Amino acid sequence: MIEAILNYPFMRHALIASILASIACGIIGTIIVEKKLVMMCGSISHISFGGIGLGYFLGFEPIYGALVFAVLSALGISVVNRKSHTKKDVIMGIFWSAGMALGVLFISFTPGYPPDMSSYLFGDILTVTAADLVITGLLVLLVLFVVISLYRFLEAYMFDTEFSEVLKINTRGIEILLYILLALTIVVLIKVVGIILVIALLTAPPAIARFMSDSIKKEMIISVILSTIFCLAGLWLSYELQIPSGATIIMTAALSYLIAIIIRKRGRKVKPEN
Amino acid sequence: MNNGIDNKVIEIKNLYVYYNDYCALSNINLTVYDRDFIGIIGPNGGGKTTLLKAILGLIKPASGTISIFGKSPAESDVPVGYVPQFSTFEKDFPISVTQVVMMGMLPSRTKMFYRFSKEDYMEAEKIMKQVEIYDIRDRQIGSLSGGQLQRALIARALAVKPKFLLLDEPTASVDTNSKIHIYDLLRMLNEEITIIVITHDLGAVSSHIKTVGCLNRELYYHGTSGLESSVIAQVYGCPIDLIAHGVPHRVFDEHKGES
Repeated sequence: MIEAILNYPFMRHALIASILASIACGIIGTIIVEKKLVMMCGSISHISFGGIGLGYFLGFEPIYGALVFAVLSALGISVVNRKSHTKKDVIMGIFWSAGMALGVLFISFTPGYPPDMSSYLFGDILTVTAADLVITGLLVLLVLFVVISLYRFLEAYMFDTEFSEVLKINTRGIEILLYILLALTIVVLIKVVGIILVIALLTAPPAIARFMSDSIKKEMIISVILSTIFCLAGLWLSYELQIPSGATIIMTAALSYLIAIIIRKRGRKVKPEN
Repeated sequence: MNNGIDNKVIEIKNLYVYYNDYCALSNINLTVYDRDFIGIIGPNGGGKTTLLKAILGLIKPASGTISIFGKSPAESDVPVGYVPQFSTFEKDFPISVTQVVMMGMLPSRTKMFYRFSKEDYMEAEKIMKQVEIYDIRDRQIGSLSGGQLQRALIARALAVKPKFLLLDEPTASVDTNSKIHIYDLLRMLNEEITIIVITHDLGAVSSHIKTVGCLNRELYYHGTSGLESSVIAQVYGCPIDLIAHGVPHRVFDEHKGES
């Protein structure tokens, strides 16, 4: 694979995209796992398919449609979350499917041959362009800036939102900021692993990392490292075995999580006091 | 005494709180004075936590007023020490005792690149020694016992430098020894700050708390005196305990019903 990276620009792009996406993924994934937003992020990624369909229908770059749909749905969900008596999971579940359905309808309205959607659904890291890398890089800088500069406040918000409110910290503002970052991260990850597979890449690394973390900072750093390993290992395996990259990355992440759980269970049996 | 405005800390007048159509609090009137130590008892679902949340400004009342040193909870900039029930956060969250305590020192205005100062760390150290959790300061909160966790949360509330403390069942999942320990700690803290505590622990009410109120949608509170058994019976629906009038805070009968 090293030879291929040296010789082919698309392999170099894939390599850089893996690393950049992993940084955003590890940090935002930690927030998703600790704040229990897995359902929400599945919902956002699927709703963004509606935007991709709209892009094809109206003839603009589909990923921008996905971006708008993702951000709007994240903001919509944040409003729903504030209303404690509504059935959040039902609403998210319905919009999850409705977003997909909307995308399918838009594509069917699009004149001419139907486009191949599989790269959006399952990702295709080998088609990442230099322009994509610039956008991903900007997102990573934004995520790093927000998380580093507001770390103490984010930690308080994530650990105990109610107490943060009692301290009169602007939890609503923090939440909106995080949800927007989450939506942007999901859209960037669509290129790497696709709409359907994105949830596992966001959740598996932090789910493993939290077994060995004593702070949110550590969990984020370990998640970034794990995510990079999964992406690169998946990329290498898919290249060597000539199999789809997105699916291989996700299987690497999922199997690693399975192994981590088994190791942890075994470890617990030996050391019962902790 | 030095708080101004007749040393009133909290004044609640004709407070009503509804959850949709359900009336959780009805016509609550309560005045809390400086250095009060009020215990609030009452059956589950009686609105005890709702009352605390209304004082904290987390819940909007349907009608009536709450004033904290003369201002509404939303406008108030008086630091409040809040000790929630365990259920408000995940116990397996990766965070150490010190970091939880330091959380109380965060400023309300979100500042970029905010770092705690050396003085903050020294203050946290002092508080952790005071509530006797200094030895476990580097432990993960998930590894603490109920009593240790509760004291860590009290330390976090104290780190706010509060004018008054609100505690929501601080001894709910705590063994008897830790219970006594926690109430001794609260009594000591009460020498300087006003405390309102929700509790099911009538033993503590009798031995540590200055005044007691009974809350079941409506509040039965008589300031300095204890509660008559008839009032408790009315609130709980059955006679469960006896607190003598005139001999406040003395329980002289085992309570038999639910509490």
